[in-house]
Amino acid sequence: MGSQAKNRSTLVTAAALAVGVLGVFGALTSYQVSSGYSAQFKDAYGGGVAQARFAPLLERVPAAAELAYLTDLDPSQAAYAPAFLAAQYAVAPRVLHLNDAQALPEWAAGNFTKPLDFAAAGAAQGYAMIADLGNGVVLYHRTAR
Amino acid sequence: MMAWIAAMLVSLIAGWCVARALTAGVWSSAPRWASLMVELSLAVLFGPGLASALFFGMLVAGVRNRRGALAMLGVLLAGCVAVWWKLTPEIAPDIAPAGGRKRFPWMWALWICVAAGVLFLFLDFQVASSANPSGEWDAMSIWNLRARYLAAGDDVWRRAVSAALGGHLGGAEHPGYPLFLSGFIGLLWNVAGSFDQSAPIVVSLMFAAAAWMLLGASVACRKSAALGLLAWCVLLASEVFASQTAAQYSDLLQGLAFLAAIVLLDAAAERDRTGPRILIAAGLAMGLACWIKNEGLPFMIAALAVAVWRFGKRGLPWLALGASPGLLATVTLKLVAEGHEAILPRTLGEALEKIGGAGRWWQAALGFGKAVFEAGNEWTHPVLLAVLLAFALRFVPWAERRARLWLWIPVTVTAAAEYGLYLVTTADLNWHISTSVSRLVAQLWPTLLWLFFVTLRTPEEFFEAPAVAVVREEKAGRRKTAKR
Repeated sequence: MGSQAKNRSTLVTAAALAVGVLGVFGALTSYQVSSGYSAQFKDAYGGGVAQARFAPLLERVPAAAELAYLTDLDPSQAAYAPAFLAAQYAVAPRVLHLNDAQALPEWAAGNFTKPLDFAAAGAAQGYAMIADLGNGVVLYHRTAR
Repeated sequence: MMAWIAAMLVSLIAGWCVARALTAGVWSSAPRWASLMVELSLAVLFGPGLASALFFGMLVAGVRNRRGALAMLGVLLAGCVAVWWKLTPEIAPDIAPAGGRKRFPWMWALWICVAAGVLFLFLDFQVASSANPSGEWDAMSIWNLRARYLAAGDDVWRRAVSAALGGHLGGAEHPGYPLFLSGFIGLLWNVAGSFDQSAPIVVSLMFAAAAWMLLGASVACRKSAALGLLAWCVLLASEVFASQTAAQYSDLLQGLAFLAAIVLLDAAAERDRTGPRILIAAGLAMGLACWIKNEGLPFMIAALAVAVWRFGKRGLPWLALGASPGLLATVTLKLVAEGHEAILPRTLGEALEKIGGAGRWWQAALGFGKAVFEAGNEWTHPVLLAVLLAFALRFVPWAERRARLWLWIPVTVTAAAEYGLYLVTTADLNWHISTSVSRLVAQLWPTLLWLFFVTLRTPEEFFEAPAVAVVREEKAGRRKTAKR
């Protein structure tokens, strides 16, 4: 083997090993980033909490049911959409309906962030409170029209 | 738990039968571990893809119970075993060149690096999945949510394809999003009879592992074992890939389908005499690509067009046959979906007005540039590693590179379509880019790396063949002489 070819093979070896080692460090860095993020943001999207909060509701409402969604959050608030979508995931295959005054489903699910008069909140939308399931989750049934 | 694991294994075995039947002998001169890994990666795409498409077809046809799902899996397995039995050719053992093959002497070190990198990737996945077992945002609000409706059967499955599902919230209405992932998880949950949280976690890992495995193994088959290991190392260093492994999204699955289609088209071009089997496999990967996400549609159209150009009209029936399961499922979905995508403009005028905004072009380009910049970390950035390899190994001659330029077309068209979507989106452009551009890059990343690696010379080329082969030949010669 000529010296030029030998030099080239040394360069190739060094580059290949460098890429191998840097690849390991890259994976290690990704792991460290992920580890830090995960420690800081457990259940970052609220799916776990929502599933625990809405679990008592699942036993009382048929799996195919449609529910109106009642909340104290204003649609303009940043927390509004995440809270709705986490609740939707937690109660699926039941489906939640937002702001649909025309079609009033038989059931309604309340998802509240602070204590208030839950019965009055439901009555204003045409629903009677069936049960306060705790943690801001309330089950309603449609009142006779 | 056992039920969904059994259903997943049945899908994978079915997928392997199809992959084996359609690609046996295609990489016969490659290391056996590499060709086996390619088959397994393709099995992860083909089996769950076919199962998902059939499950969706079953729901549309009105068969919506657990017994029907189990029967469907049985039929799928029997059909795929029959395909394997009838189509798999006898493979003649590959005869190694008399002088022995050139080898990269530091292969053992690269294997250690790959093993260590995989360990960190797995730890990354484990820590992210433990913190967020329901996956990231879109997993909970789109992919797994729709899987729950599909799993529930009855008429409830229609909710998965309804715009009302997102509560008419911008960015949450996706009635026409393809259902490969949701359909497969829905099938597993349907068979299990519960929404076992571990099913989407395992499925997410499986698709990420298959995409990773296919990259290095196919480079090893196509070029050399050392280059395959280096491709794995570069993907391991890609934060854009690692960050998606535990997300439970469709993007790495989309990346797997893109890569599979390109690898199979390249293999078909390499071995025209392989016949229609490899073209059916390429068509299957293309068809399934559009059953994963909407981005798969421009990819499939472009890939089919270049394949017809490359293989002539005789290739079209085989490509179409392969593409039919994914394509039929996608067309059926588009027909039954209720409502339209919230982020698409409703009129041509609205679209043109948005395209006319010069700032949007720049903003979208900047978004892609930023995503590539953030694809890795400083000194371990995959682009930096690729440049280092290109400097040391250099590229194959231009004529050889030019012969494979057509493989870039589907990737370029897909990237252009993704870019075009940003130009016309009705959502806030900053929000749209910041929440999706890294995932679009993740979809194309394994294929871009593959296209780069096949243009490099191999490390083995810079080393002489091992002397052992010569010694063995001499010994064999001496034995023959002694016998005489």
